[in-house]
Amino acid sequence: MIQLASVVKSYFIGGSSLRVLDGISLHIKPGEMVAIMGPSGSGKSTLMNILGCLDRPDAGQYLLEGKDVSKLSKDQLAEVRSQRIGFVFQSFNLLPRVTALENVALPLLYAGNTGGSAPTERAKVALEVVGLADRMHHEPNQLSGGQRQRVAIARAIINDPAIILADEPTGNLDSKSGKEILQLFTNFHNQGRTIVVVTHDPEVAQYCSGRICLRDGRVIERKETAA
Amino acid sequence: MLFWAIIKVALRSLFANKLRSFLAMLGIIIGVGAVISMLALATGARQKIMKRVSSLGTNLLIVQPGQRGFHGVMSGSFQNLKLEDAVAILEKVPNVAQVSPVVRSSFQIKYFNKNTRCSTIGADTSFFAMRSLVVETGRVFTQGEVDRKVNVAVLGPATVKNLFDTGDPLGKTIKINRANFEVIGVLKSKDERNDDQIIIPYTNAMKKLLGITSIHEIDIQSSSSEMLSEVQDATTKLLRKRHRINEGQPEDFSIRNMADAISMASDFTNMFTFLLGGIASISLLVGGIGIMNIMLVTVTERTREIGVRKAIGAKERHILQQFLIESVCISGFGGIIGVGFGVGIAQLIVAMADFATVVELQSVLMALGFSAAVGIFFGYYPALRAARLDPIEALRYE
Repeated sequence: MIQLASVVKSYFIGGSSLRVLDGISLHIKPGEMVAIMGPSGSGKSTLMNILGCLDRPDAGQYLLEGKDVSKLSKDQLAEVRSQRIGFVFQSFNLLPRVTALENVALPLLYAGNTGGSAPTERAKVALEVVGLADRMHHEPNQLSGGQRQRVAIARAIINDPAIILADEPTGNLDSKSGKEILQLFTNFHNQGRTIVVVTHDPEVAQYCSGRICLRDGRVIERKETAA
Repeated sequence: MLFWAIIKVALRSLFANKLRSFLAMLGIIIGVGAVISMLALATGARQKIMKRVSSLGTNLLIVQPGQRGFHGVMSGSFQNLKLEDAVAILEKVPNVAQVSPVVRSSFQIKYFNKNTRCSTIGADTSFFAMRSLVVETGRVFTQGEVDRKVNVAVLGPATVKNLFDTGDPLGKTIKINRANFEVIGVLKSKDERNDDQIIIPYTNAMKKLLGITSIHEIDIQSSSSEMLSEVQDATTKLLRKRHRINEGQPEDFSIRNMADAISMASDFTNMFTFLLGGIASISLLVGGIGIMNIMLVTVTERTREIGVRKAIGAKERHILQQFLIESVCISGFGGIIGVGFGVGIAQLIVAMADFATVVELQSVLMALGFSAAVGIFFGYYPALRAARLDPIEALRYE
């Protein structure tokens, strides 16, 4: 599903170059639920940005579903993001003053009409999947943190993406809501979806079947899901 | 569908910041209002001037004697225009429809104890048609009355009011310079200049009132406006010959062409329109700068939202469209409100300053189009900035 070969990414800070990803090679199989772990500064976020097609590697190759996405233009990357990737952020990143339903339907707006039923109908289905059918006309500020994250998850899955990328999805939640969210991910995992969770919380990592540990821009441990 | 969704988003964000959106709009409202009201003022002025100029009669040439002068010092007119000149023009110049000799003077007019001083014009029967003067009551004088030098007079409505107040002037006898004249007609009101005058047969005016043999003016009407300049050339030629002016010598008469006067007036009013419209457009431009300012703030404020939209698949053009539509909404609504505002100002000018103002559909459309263009122009840079934002940076923005 995901194949990274010697991916390098550097940032220039104050004139000096900082190699954040220093030759990362890894493979994530379809249906895997992987935790990317590591201390801060280890390159987790940068790796996540590259996996999510928000950024391009300076060197190396990134194959997403067998397609090389490391040399795509900005608009092509946007296209990939809208069709193949679902994001879940730590701070939910829902649009304010927009109902849950519309938030969920938003990716469909940019993906163009990909056929199937109407966007609102699809958004309703996605909200039902995350168990928020009764809150679809609420705006984010009328929802609890856990509910907001569910909306964000519904938004992430509406386009039936190849991978779901979650960046500290439980970081802003109390432990009870956090567990519910992780349970939701586990359900998706059991349905065969590919999920990548960036976290530094070992408890979160326990829900995952595989694990990738980073330090100083290199993979230091890779535990794969037993086949 | 996408388009409507984007418009909905734009409207929602405008409503979320009502005061700010209104302040941004205010610049456009004032700008469009200024353009509309200034153009209305200019159009009103143009129509008034054109009406006045064309009321002199179209297809009209006016021959006047040259100014007597020496080294630029004018000391009265030549008395070299004769009745025979007028007759010759009518007979010999082709494409001449009508000719009227004209003499003018200002006399004391009396009716019992009422007294007024006004311009008295001695003219032929053709004069009324040429100057588009129409009688309201009574009649104009006839050729017979001209030939027999009958003492009859046609009065302008303002003169009638001065002499008779509300009484009926027809058939009454007034005194012009102590000679008795019978009032046979009253002119329809036209404009200030033409309303206070008395028109009598020129034969009468020359012989009895003024005692002169020369005339002050020859009015010529060409058969059509296309023929006007030909008639003017032929008349110049004829009069030069009749007055025995050698080639190269200046003429002792001048010919005024009403078409020239009209085109001069229209040049002037066009300039007036451009001037007022131009000044008003500057305020529209300033309004545009206000929009740009607000949009830049909005983009910065919503950096995170832009990041989210990009993360879930929005391309640069989607973001560009969204913010462009937002700024066009501001300027568009501002424009619509501004039109109402401008029409209101135009009405206020009419009510308070007694200027004629005319709001033309074309200037409304122009102002609306212009304000939309301002929205696009000044919204483009902020929108482009939004579209170019790096999604990672934008998502990190607090």
